[in-house]
Amino acid sequence: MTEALQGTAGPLLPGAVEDAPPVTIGRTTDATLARVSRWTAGRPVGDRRRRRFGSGRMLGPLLLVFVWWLLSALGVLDPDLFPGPAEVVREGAHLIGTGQFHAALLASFRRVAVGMSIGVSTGVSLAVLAGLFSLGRNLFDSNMQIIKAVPTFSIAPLLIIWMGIGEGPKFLLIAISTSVPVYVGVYGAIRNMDPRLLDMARTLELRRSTLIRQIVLPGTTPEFLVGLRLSFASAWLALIFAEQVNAREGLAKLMNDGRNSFQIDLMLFVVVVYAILGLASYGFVRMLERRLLVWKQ
Amino acid sequence: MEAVSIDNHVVDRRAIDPAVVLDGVSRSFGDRVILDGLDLMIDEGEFVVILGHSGTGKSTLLRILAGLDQEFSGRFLAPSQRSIAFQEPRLVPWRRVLPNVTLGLNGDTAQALGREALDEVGLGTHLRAWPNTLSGGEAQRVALARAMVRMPDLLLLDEPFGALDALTRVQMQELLMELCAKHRPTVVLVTHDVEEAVLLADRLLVLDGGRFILDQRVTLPRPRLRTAPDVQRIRADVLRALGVFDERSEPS
Repeated sequence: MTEALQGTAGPLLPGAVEDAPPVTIGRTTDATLARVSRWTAGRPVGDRRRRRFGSGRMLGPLLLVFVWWLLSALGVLDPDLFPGPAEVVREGAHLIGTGQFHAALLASFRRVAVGMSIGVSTGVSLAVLAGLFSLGRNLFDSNMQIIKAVPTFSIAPLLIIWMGIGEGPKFLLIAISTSVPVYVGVYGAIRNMDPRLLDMARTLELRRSTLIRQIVLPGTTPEFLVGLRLSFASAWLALIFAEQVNAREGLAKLMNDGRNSFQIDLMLFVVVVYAILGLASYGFVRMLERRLLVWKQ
Repeated sequence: MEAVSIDNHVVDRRAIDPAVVLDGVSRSFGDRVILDGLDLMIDEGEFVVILGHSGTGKSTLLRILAGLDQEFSGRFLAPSQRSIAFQEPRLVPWRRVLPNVTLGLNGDTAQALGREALDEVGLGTHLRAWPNTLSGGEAQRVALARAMVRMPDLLLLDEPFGALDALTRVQMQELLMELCAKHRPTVVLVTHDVEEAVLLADRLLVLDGGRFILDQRVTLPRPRLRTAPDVQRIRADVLRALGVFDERSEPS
């Protein structure tokens, strides 16, 4: 019993207890011992080890699917208007078998990839220019606030009039929607940089380029990732709008096909695909956070 | 303060080479005059401790010496190689310990110098640790290594141990004495802790009302013991200058 107590008292005061008599804290009853062993054996308070995405986090969505299946099996959901998971999976397997799904997903994926690449890189570049230089701020910040205020989808018809019905306006719509969240995040992070850190950098007489590359920009990573997460959400939403017009391929085309032929299982399948894509991009950003923000843990 | 002529070449150079010269340095914030025409000469290698109540401009003076405050009037001379350590370590959280120390250093030797500096503060095994994982004392050691790696002629310390617990503070004071004995920089340390001041200083300055009201050399041999009568006597003197009367330090 006493041994256990000494074991915990030792490392608390390094060097100071060598000559000290054994520590006894009142009477070591079983109750106190139980208390001590609980806080030494238990997990440390505020343990910030993160669960890997996909282990416990899928519980909610799986429960949702289960409830859906249950309601279908019990006959609560009308099978013609709201088919169960099994029918949707069957329809999906069919689409995958014919190669239709593959083509649609690839087309949509390409739009998001191109649009987001343009949008995110533009957003970050403008944020850096506006954050670091007053000229940049005067040129870009108000404009970005305007873009933030105007619902992007309201200009979709204009984009089509100006740019035609090809891929161009689709890329642009996604690019505009995704540039705003990363811009807001990165710009804010630069403007709110800890002034004490900047003072410190001044005393080290860092060159401006060093200061920007090694202190300012890496410091915006957390806010950039928050922005990126929102950008992904905007991207999938913008995709739906972008694909409403003359998309010969894509997820929205599948959805429209389903509507036209009243194939509700097809429509539900597309919804499920959107959900999976949303979850996957969330997981992707979380993976980036784990890799890039190790210093925060 | 003893007047020394810089132009007098006959006098032993070591004794008169001033590392820092203040000439009528003043600083106000709005109507409040914080520093009121300070004159000061600090010898090379001297360990100067500045004491004073909160808000008497100790840190302002240090910021002026560090080149962080340009809004002062008057003139000062200071070595161009200066380093500063603050009360908070101010490490860059997204850089590991070694890159924090070598921040802004160029050349092939930067890494080796950084390692050496971290070795000296006892953190040679923490090169790849993230600042967030360090204890307060360890983080402050890194800050000290970052200051020392630049081989400063003037080391400015703004309450560097103010936020540390009592045990760590004692260890850090000893570490600082070792580093200073080895590298012999001129040191200006600002603190609230009178005992710390007496233990470390070659010279004590008390700042009050914008001026130095006490300028006392401490010639006691090192290492100094907290309990030594001389230390206690000087401590009482300084406290009296600060207008604080501590029963313990009052001679009966």
